[in-house]
Amino acid sequence: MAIQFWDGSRHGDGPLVELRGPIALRHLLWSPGELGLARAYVTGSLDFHGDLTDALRQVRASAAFHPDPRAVFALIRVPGVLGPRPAAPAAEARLSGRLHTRRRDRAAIAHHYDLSNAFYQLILDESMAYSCAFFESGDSLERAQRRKLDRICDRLGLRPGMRLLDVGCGWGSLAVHAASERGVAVVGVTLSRRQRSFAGERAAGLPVEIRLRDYRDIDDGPYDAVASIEMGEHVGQSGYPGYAASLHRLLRPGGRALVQQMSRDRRPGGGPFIERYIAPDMHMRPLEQTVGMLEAAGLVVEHTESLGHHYVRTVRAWQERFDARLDEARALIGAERTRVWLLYLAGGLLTFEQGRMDVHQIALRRP
Amino acid sequence: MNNAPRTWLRAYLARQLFLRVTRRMKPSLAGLRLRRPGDFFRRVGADGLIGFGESYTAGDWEADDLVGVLTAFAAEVDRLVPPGLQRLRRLALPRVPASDLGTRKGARRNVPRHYDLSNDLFAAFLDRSMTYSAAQFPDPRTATWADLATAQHRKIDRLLTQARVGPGTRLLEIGSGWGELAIRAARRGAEVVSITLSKEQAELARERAQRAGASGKAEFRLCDYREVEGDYDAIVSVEMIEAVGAPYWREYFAVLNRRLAPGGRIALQTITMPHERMLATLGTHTWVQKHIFPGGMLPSLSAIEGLLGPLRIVDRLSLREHYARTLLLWRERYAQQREAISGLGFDETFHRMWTLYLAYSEAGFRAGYLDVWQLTMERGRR
Repeated sequence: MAIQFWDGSRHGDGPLVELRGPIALRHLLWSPGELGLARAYVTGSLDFHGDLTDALRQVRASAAFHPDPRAVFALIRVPGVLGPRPAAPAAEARLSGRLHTRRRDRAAIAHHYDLSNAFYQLILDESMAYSCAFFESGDSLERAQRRKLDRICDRLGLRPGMRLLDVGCGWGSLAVHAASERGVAVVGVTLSRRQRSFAGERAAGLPVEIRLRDYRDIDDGPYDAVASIEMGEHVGQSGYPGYAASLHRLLRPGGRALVQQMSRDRRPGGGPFIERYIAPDMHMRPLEQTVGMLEAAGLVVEHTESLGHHYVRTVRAWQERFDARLDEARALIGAERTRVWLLYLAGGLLTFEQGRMDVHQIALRRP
Repeated sequence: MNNAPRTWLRAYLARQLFLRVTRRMKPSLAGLRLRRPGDFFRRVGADGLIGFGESYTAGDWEADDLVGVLTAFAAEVDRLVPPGLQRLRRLALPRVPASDLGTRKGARRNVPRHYDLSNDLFAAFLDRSMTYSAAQFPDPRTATWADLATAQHRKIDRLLTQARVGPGTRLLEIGSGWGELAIRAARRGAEVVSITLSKEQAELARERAQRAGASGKAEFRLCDYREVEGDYDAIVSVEMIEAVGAPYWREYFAVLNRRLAPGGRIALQTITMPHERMLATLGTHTWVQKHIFPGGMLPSLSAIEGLLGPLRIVDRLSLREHYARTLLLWRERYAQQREAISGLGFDETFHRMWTLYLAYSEAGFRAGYLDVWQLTMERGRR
């Protein structure tokens, strides 16, 4: 890795990291590792030249990620490096209150999903599915998202006339697909106002009802089938048993549920960057632990399938769309949040590529 | 004669336990009739669940709905024995005889004890695909005998697809059965090495492969899984780990890992028990082990996960309901073929033993005491 300092001096070879001011190092001193790096990058005091994903791959592999104490000592004598803790970027989430109360969960969801529907339309394909697609060779993102939605419908055994509940319905991709392609009636719930209005509008004329509601407050079960696509990460470790119990309670005996969910094998949680910038209070854990919690709620796990390698392709497709429309993105969400998203997608791609995270479809049945 | 008081005491305790259990399970045990209660309690008292099975074979008891009664027992299995006594089960229950352990020598003796019984026996109650493992039906609740062969092919095809078997794939199959999977893999253009310890299986598998025009592509070897050499792009093993024995599970997975070429995939089909039950029964001897599968032991999913080494499971699919249906269809078929099977030299005691084995297994899957999984594995990326 090569580092270029604000005075123009350059050290090392390889891909270039540019430090635009001593404040970049101050961020790293106050919060070493992933968080400090993210803060410096997001605020623009640190930049990577060339492809961001490649640069991050190198950073992780390089010694600069675990600096020599002597180097740190040398750097803190540079004027402007030592100093009070820099203000955290405005794009960071600041939540208060006890974890996973209804109020705090609403705030956490609003932080990420109420950003701007127009912005999500820039990045996502027309289905507005914001979760891992299922690719077969040569598939476009659109085709792969449809394939994913079809797989979900197949695994739920949807037949015309059934009632499907979608817990965490996003912008309505599954609700609209299931209602129009499989002839089922769908209730979708979300905590995001902007998702609700978007999904409600596009589902007009279909037997789809989108509710702004907490999953703990759904009271018109049981349903013939329940889906929850990359939503279980948000309920947290303490909330998961209650979430699993809700899936069980809302599903009729003999009915099927499908949970698509991300997992982390080592260091459960969300990771410092994700927790501050993307999804506060998010929790991911190894698949087996999730399976155990679902089983403890009385559900039978019939099938799990790892889709991690599909997430690499999904994120890459989102990156391509984003890169092509960066100016529009900046106009919609501002420069700082645009950098958050650049970092989020590049970092996300790497965690899946390197197997530090995975995502699974988990097919369940209530006996 | 010294044993008389002890035998009497054990029969007495068995009777008390049985009454306690049946009081609680009364509705589900309708139709269980003790024909010779004295013999029944003596056998159960002396040999526990082994005695329970043997007393059925001997005709001490009958049931109108054998699977129903066994399902009720299986559902209660954890509560059958009072918790205080559960802890003593390792002391009280017979241990697996050393001669049944899955060493190379032991395995060469154990496997033929089941699979060399008679190809004609298996042909009598299996469908024409001669597949002796869980099938995969479109709907397991309504499937009939006419659906079985197609459902066996569906199962095989899914395993081959999961293992990414196609033209030119070097495929290793551990546990040949009577060759159907190897034949279908050869038809996909794979080069198959399939191993078994059953001479009868290997001979019939070769014959069937030849008839199918696949003999050039599918080679059947009489060989222990620990003695295979070479690299394979794909490995498939269907309901074979059950015969490996717990002390050798680690080695079995080490062999899978050693034989798998970089980028290759493994597809296993395996029967499992819940982890707690597995721990409780580890090392004890059961009726199924004594009479049906010597040296056999069912793993739990967690046990498997702990033994994978660098391998990791990327897909797991349960065929639990499918197995219950498969076993039902086999049992019905066996009943239809009873006379023909007698003609092969199998007597009434054998019929009752086989019927109990199929019914007991079906009950296990219905009650959730048994499960069966297709596991797809890769070498981990980490």
